[in-house]
Amino acid sequence: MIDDELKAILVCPACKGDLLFEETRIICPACRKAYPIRDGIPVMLINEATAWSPGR
Amino acid sequence: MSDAHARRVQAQFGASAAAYVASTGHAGGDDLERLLAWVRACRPGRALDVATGGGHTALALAGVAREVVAFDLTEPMLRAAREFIRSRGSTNVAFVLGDVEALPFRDGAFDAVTCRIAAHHFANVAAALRQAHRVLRPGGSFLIQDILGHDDPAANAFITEVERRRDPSHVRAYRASEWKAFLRAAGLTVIDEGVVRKVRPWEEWTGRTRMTLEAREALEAFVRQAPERCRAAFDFELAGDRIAAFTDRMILLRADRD
Repeated sequence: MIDDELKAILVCPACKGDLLFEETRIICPACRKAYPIRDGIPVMLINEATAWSPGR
Repeated sequence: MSDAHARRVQAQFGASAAAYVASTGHAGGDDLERLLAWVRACRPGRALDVATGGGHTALALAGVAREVVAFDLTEPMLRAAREFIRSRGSTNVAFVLGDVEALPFRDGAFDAVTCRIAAHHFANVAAALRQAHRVLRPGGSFLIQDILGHDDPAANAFITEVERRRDPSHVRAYRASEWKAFLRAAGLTVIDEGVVRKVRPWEEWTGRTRMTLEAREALEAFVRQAPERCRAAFDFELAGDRIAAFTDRMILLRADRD
């Protein structure tokens, strides 16, 4: 669970763009990458992100 | 930072997370008090602790700032920090995993950024400071503490070798002039500075990184065989064939965003 205060300041580590927050991952639509949330901790490491495409 | 260096850091601290939470040298002392005095002076609403390690600095910040983000590269370390901070009853600390050279925070998000006893592990200090500058609001404070590099090149080479044998993720410690150049280049203006001495009890210091007995004996032999002036530069205390302790000097700098 990522609280609203944190959501307000988190951006993509690669492009510094806005993110979409889901239950288990955080998506950067610009980079088309998904960052995992593991045990409640956002894993904002570029090399841990997986490919993401809209509509999935 | 490079994947290879990130893996070195993660391997080093992932295996020793609990020891860093328990470390007396990281838990507090004059150095943390000095840093906290600066934090209180800038009355941060939101503060970021970069490379939080065992979480001692983030916990201290939690008593001063409205909201704190504890940030680290190593997942087991950050989980250990979370467990520690929650066990102390602080509820205003969030935890984020990431790389200091690519901070995942908005420009100007923080009133204060701290980084305590960690920058000597950074592959690229200049890049890290540019990121710290970016996430600070104008006028916000960057508060750094790290091992001070020695002005004598031989002593500096000696202690760097000791550090790297103990912890392969150690990059190097920087002299005061180097720190000031890094900060200036990043757009951060030094407001205040200090130096504190930190005694390193040898058993605890070498034990924390889980050195093998062979590696530790080789390191002790290296220390004993080093020129006396190199040992003296760090006040190595030898007791018979044992090493009791040595003393680091730590630099503390407050530098504000222009």
